[in-house]
Order: sequence, then C-alpha cells, then structure tokens
Amino acid sequence: MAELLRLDGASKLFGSLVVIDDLSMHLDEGEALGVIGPNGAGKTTLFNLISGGLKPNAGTVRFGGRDITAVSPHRRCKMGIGRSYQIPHPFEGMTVFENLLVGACFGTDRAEKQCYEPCAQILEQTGLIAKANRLAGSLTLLERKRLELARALASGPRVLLLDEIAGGLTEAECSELVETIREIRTTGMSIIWIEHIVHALVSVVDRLMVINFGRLIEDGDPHAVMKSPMVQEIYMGISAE
Amino acid sequence: MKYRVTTATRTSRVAGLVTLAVLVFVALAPQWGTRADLRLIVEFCYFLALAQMWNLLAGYAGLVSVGQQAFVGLGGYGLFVFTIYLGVSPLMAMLLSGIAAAIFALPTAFVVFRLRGAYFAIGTWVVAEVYRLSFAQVSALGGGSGKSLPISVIRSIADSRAEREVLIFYVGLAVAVFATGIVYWILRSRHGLALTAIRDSEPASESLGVNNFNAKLVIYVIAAAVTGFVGALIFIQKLRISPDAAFALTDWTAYVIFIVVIGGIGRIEGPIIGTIVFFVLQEFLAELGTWYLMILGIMAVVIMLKAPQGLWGLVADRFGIQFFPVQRRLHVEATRDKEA
Ligand SMILES: Nc1ncnc2c1ncn2[C@@H]1O[C@H](COP(=O)(O)OP(=O)(O)OP(=O)(O)O)[C@@H](O)[C@H]1O
Ligand SMILES: [Mg+2]
Repeated sequence: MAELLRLDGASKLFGSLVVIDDLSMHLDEGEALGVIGPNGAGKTTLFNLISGGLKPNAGTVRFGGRDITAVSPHRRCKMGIGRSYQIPHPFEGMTVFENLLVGACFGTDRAEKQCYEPCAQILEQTGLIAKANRLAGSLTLLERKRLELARALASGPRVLLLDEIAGGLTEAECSELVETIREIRTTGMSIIWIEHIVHALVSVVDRLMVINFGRLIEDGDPHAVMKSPMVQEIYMGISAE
Repeated sequence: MKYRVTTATRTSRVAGLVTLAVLVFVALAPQWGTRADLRLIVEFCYFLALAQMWNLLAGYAGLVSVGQQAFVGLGGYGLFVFTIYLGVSPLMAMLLSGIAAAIFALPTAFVVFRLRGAYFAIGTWVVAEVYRLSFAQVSALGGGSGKSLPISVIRSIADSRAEREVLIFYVGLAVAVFATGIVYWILRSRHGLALTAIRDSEPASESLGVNNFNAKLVIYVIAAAVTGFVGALIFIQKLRISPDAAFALTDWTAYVIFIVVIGGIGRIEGPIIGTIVFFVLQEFLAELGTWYLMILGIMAVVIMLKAPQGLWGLVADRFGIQFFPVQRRLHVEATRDKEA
C-alpha cells in the first residue's frame, strides 16, 4: 500500500511545555488508524499539526509524498486532509446544508451548483437529510457531531481526521455513529480516529497508536496494543472487547 | 432521489416589488420634493451605503473597523485632487476616488490584518488618524484648515445649481442601490458562503478550504472602494473639505456603527432599518445637541444587550421573514419529501 501521510520527528511546544515530543508516524492509503491516550496527551495537537492549524517547532509533515510542513490549512484541505473538531464548530447562522456547501465548494474547488447533489448525498449518508434546512445552531450534540463528520466529508478528503466524534454520546448514539463510519470506510477512505471509547475504536480500525506525554508509546494491531503492559497501566481495567 | 435548491421566498418576491415601488417613488423626488428633501435623501443614501459596507466588514468578514473614516477622507480628498489638480471631470473624479481608496486599502490591510479583534479595531482607527494628520500637512490642499471646491469645478458639475443638485441626488441614489445590491450579490455568490462561514467560525472555514485571509482582503478592498466613492459624494455636496471633517470618526464611523447595530448586524436589511431609525431620531432629537449623542449611545448599548440581533432581527426571527433571502434551501423530491 502506498504511504499517504508521514510525520518525521515532529515536536510542538507551547512556551516551555512540550506537547508533541519528537513524534514520527505514518498512514497508508486506505488505512484506518486509531489514536488513544490520556487527557492532555497531545492527540488534538497532533491533528492540528496534520491539518495545519499549528506549525511544528521541529520535524516535517508529508502528505502524498510532498512536504507540506509550511502549507496553510486551507490548501491542505484542498489537497485532501479533512478534519472534524473535538468541540464542534458549526457555522451556527447557516443551515446544515449550507455548512456542507462550504466544504464542498472550497474543499474541492467546484462551482456551487455542482456541489448540491454531492452534499445532499452526504446528508443522506450521515443521517442529516431531514435537518438539511435547519440552522446549525439549533442542532443537538449528536447532530453537531454528525455535522462535523458530514462537513469534513463534503470537502472531498483523502484522509479523514476524526477527533472524539463519539465523545459525549449515549451508547446507542455511539453505535449508530460507528455504523456510519464503517459505511464511509467501505469507500476506501483513509481515517485517523481519536477516541476514548476504546471498544468503538477497536471495532473499526486496522491499527492502533497510543500517545502519552506527546510521545508514541505503542503502535500496532489494536488487540495486541491493548494487551501491552504500558497500555494496561494507563487504561487500567478497560478491555478491548 | 432528486434535489432542488431555492433561495427566494414568497415574502422576498413581494418585498422585491415593494422595494422597486419605493425606489421609483424616491427616484421621482426631483419632481415632488423640495431642495431640502433632495439633500436629506442624499444624506440618507450615503449613510445607507456606508452602513452596508460596514456591515459587510463587521457583520460578515469579522473585520470590526473603527477606521472607515480613512476611506471617506481619502475619497473626499481624491475628489479635490482629481478635479483641481488633474482636471478630471467631477463624475469621473468620484469614480477615480473610489479606485484610489481601494488602492490605499492594500497597504492599510497589510498593517491592520496582522492585528486581531480589539487590536484590529484600534489599528484601523490609528491608521485613519495617520491619514488625517498627513492631509493636515499638505498645504496645497489647505493644510489643517481645508479647502473649498473652486467655482470653475463646481460649474463643471452642471451649469445651474438646480441641475447640480439633481445630478448629485441621482448619484447618491445610485450608490445606495449599488452598495445594497453588491452586498446582496456577494452574499448569494460562492464568496458569500465563505464569508458567512468566516463570520461563524474562522478555524472551521479555514480547515474546509476557505482562504480566510483572501476572502477578507477582497471584502476590505471592496468596502474601501465604495466608502471612498461615498466620501467623494459627501464632499461634492458639501463643496468644502478639511481633515477634521473628512476623517471624522463620529460622523463616518460612530454613526454608521450605531445604524448597523440598531438595525441588525449581519443582515442586509439591518442597515436599511438602522438608517431609517437614525434619520427619524435625528429629525426629532437633533436640537438636543450633546444629549442627542448620549441618547444614541444609550440606545445602541441597550440594543446590544437586549437584542443583539437588532430591530430587524427581532422582527425577522419572530415572523421568519427575509426581504433579501440568501439562505439556500434544499428540497428533496420524489420518494420522501417531508423535511423540515
Ligand atoms: N493553544 C494552546 N496553548 C497552550 N497549551 C495548549 C494549547 N493547546 C493545547 N495545549 C496543552 O497541550 C496539552 C495537550 O493538549 P491536547 O488538546 O493536544 O490533548 P488531547 O490529547 O487532545 O487531550 P483530550 O483527550 O483531553 O482531548 C494540554 O496540556 C493542553 O493544555
Ligand atoms: Mg483532544
């Protein structure tokens, strides 16, 4: 499989606080990678380095064989990096449909009219079609999370970065969302998924990465990783099944 | 499944007709109005145009400028420079003044776009002050005490005073319609999607492929051009310019902010309603002098606290009406057609 994304020796500091510490990782085309780690481990910061919201203090980010370390976030989106936010950032004064239109028009550089059909289809796929004309500000938490996902999809990504998309949802809502993500995976979409709900994650991903204090401490088969002593120590008692 | 997207609503079609009727009536003002009426309508028009531009900046692009008087002043002085020193005809000079203001907006943006939030606001004000102090140094333009438009230039607008007033009236009406129209057109275009997205969340719009910086810069330059043209219009009506009048914070920005806040920020109808309210208040309260300003200030604060969506927002949200609809509504046809 061709390599899609690669970080080499990436570090990120906030003042003197080292949040990402000499981290290297990669993602293959079509692969689904899970990321876990305690609160404050640097997972969201890692996504910001990949999507371009933050620039690393050291190291490089490569995407599709190109060094994109200095590339701005909107250009990374056009190249195919789509992300969702841990705390949803809906465009509250726009309708759900218009939220997707933004991603479709600018993420893929198409004329507005050509985006209507694909956006409507993504709304169907993510279960938001009935809310298409509602203002995004009026959505429930589950709907906001779905909108994060739908909007990122509309931008036509090659890799989808999902940041705790199931966080704060009920068990039933969570398994619904997992179904949706499974369905997206059938199109061959690459994903990196940060999630604290380990069993949901393990049921979808091919590979699991564990981050602690900004360092990569485990990387491999999800079940094997969950059984490793280091992870057992951090995630005391949480089973992968 | 078939999908259809619409923007117009029944009220918007009715509103379109009403707007047209009002416009025709106002356009006939030289037939029915006195000279004072024409003057008042021109003032109404330039405040409306300034308010539309400020709303576009602050209400959509998130650029809360308190320095738009910079462009009014540049446009006003542009008129004097182009007509007196370059011998350009007044109407052409007004257009060139708008273009000049847009050109000045680029280096200005280079400075102020590095600043965020409150610092951006202060930065725009500082830049406007720099322009004011600079023009006060130019003795060819009358320095600090200012300059009048020479008789020869005034004559070149039109021969008689009445003709001049009618001409200025139509230019005023045109710029108000143009300012409102261009905002409507921008918001309905693809660029409008980006702007509205920026208004609601800058990080999200950027990570969905919107070039926030460029989107804002385009709006800043357009607003400067229209504001500069309005500046030229203001001073062709006043026939006299000085740095203090041209770069007046109260007249060209504070009143304008009041108008937009009262009417409803982030909506095209807001500036229209706000300008009407502003002129009604001015009619009844102007004799109160300083008190008038204080009443305006208090009103603005109360509206900001109690109804941040403005007067138009109160009405529109309650009855769900939009005179200038920009929302794209998705209709799903065939099999299931029961969406909200
Ligand atoms: N902009 C910032 N400025 C300063 N410190 C920051 C900033 N963003 C994050 N941090 C700090 O960096 C550390 C890592 O944050 P990050 O959001 O990446 O963690 P996380 O692994 O996503 O945690 P969680 O599971 O709670 O979402 C935290 O200590 C956080 O306080
Ligand atoms: Mg996080």
